[in-house]
Amino acid sequence: MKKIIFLAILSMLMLQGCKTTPGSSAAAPAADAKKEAKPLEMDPKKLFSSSGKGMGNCTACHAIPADEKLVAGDIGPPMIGMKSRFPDIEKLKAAIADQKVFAPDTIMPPFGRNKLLTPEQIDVIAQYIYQY
Amino acid sequence: MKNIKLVLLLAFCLPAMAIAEGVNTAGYSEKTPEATLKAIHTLFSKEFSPDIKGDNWVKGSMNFNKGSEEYNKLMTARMNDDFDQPVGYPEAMAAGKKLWETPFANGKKMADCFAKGGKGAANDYPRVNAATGKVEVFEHALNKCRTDNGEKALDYGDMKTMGALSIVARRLSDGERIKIEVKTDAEKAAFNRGKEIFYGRVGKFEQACAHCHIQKAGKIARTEDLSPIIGQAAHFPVFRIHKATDGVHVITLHKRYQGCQNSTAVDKKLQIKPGSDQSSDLEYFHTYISNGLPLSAGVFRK
Ligand code: HEC
Repeated sequence: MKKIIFLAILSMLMLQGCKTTPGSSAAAPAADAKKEAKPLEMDPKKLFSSSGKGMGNCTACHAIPADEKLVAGDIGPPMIGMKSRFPDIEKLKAAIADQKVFAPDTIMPPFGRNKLLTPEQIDVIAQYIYQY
Repeated sequence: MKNIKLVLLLAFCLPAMAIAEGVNTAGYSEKTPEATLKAIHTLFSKEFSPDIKGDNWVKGSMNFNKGSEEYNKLMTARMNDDFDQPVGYPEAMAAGKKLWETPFANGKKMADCFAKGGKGAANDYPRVNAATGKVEVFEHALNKCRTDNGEKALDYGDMKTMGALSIVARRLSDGERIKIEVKTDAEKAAFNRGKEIFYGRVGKFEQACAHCHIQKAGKIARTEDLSPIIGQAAHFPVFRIHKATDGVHVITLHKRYQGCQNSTAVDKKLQIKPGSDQSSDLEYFHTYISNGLPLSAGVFRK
């Protein structure tokens, strides 16, 4: 019994951790990179799945069903059939940059417009999810 | 010429104003409190299958997740078991009890400030002060009791003092059903101010409370089931898991507002703070949406 309790608590703690990390702040990564001299993250999988400054944290809302490690949220549509949904990859990039242009009441943060990610990072993410 | 200046001014102001722009999801465009609640409920009854019934609204995200309901039962049992209490629980209860029971320097006690020794008192709040138009929450009344009796006010953000006291004092109203009536102009104005905050986009993510707790309620964000707004305000303060101590800690409703603002990356400067006018306006709107549901303070919520 104790063991079950322990495991339950452990798993809760891990969830807690996930939830609180994105809270750090959302300052523009470009400006922060200068201040902290931290290189911009360019690894697509990290950008997609990590939270915090300069990250996409896409996993919070979008699942990649093809990769079971990347199934954690269903607020936004899963990453399936991307090529048929976005025949023009530029449209996909535009959606990541500012989905509000296409859906005024969207919950999707405007990663480009508010400089949460750089255009280069958005490019890398778009190419990455385009394979699914 | 004047008009051009105005247009220019507007053009400059618009980006700033966009932050306060509302999300047009259920309840947003309804004009009265009754219609707002009805629209939210209509959306939920379409989306949740089966629809959440009666007092089950208070269970929040547990309605969508058997696992978290089981976990909740386990933690509740531990809190009630003298030999297995999670760290932080007995400490908070003792601190709250001490603040509630220890006589002030003038010999009076907290219970003397309220009718029936405080029984049911929490359910008289939040309320709108007719003279000032401001919303008073129960924690304001607790502090007023202290300052009226020559004691120092507690910090609304301090969970070890105000949070603990709030649990002990609010438990005296457990089981009472929320009954907010929005009638006077001042009450309507307070409701609308709170509603504007709930539906308003803030921060660089430009997300609103209404996104997660109305539009996307029942969906999953990073393995967390999003609780519907109905029922949320009925069961605060809560005991939540505390990573640092591996135990639990107190979180008041206003502190929870801060938590959600943190996790959606709202800049500290833009956040609404515990005890503030804005958090109180939000609590007024938020509590109305739980009308009819029973109060339960100091429950466990992960
Ligand atoms: C990006 C999504 C998101 C936004 C925006 C958001 N929250 Fe939350 N909120 C959550 C998550 C996740 C939880 C934890 C799971 C749950 O109980 O809903 C939570 C929990 C809560 C709870 C506790 C529910 C309970 O039953 O214990 C309250 C109250 C709350 N939020 C209020 C708000 C308010 C008010 C705002 C706006 C200031 C807000 N939230 C904005 C995601 C969000």
